[in-house]
Amino acid sequence: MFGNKDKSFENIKDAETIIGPSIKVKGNFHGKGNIIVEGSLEGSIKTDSSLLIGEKAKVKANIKAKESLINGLVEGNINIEKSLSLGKTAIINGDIVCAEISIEKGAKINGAFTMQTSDQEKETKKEVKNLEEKNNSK
Amino acid sequence: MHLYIYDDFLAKNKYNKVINKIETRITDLGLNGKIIRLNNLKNIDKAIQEEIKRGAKTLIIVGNDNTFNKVLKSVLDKEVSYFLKNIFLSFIPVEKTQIGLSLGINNYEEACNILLARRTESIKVATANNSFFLSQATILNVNGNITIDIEDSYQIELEEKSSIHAINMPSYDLAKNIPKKINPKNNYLYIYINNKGQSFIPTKKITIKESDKNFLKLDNSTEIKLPCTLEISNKNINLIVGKNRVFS
Repeated sequence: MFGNKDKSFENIKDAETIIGPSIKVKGNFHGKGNIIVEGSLEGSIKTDSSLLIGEKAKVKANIKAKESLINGLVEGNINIEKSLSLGKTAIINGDIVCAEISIEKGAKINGAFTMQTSDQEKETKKEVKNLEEKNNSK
Repeated sequence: MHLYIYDDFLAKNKYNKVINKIETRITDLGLNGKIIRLNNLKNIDKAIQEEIKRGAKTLIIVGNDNTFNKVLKSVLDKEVSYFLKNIFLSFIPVEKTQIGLSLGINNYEEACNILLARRTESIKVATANNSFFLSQATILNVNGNITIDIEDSYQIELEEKSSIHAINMPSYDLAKNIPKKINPKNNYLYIYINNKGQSFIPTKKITIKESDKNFLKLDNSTEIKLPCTLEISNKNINLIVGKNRVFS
């Protein structure tokens, strides 16, 4: 179902929601657990867990998720809190914001990239800034 | 007090042997109780509710899915809502039934032993418009001309001939196919759509809109016209279940 062998997506069977092929979803699709999309979706999609978009999926939506593996077509902006993996069959027409990215050879991207600072990096930067401020005050 | 409720179709001669076997087993196990036969009654709801008011605590439904659904409707009526928390439903199926399989009861012989063991579970009952169902609501082989509204926030359209199930407590047969274990205690209904692939969506409220003369079948018995709104009710029912039936 998903070509990419990213280990973080091995718990695919634990998906709370599966939108199978031959299903068309229209509207604001918001879930709490892992979501798998193999059919069509138009509107928006949001989850605080993982989102997996299958090879034959067609998604015309803005996406917000904690992490995501995309192997299908996405027309819309993608905002991923942690890591985004694009498989070789992924086609993205939209802007991407994420903290980490892996792109397999063959993936097509038409849009802007913004690498967001991860929580850990934010914390480290904050600590460095605090230390600098302390040293300056001395 | 045990109350045995026999459906009217059991009056047919072909069921004599089965009924004799059930009654012999019940006597052997010391589980005798009052018997009411639905074929002799003008008002089924009233007859069952009167027995509950007189102190019937364990209602043993003898029949098929349709029998179970009829009794469920009577028991959940506001007329006996005060007694509901102390009532237990048990099922002796005389044929293969969806509810029997949902409760882990495969046949009438097993059902008598399950009644004796008295392992109980309390689960929420689901509604479809004004009707109740325990296990699942189903539309088989719908031709794609149907839309499903989910919690008023998004809509599902089907592009292929599909079977649609709204599941509260799946039968063993269905549970084997669905991708995730369903807990009928968690206030969610699960939409399971089977066509070229599988779709599985947990939700609190579903509205199935007009289609070409399709009916929604509740617990393999009552048919409901579309459009229809389905959700989990605030009513719990106590059930006597098979030893392998664990809801968690």
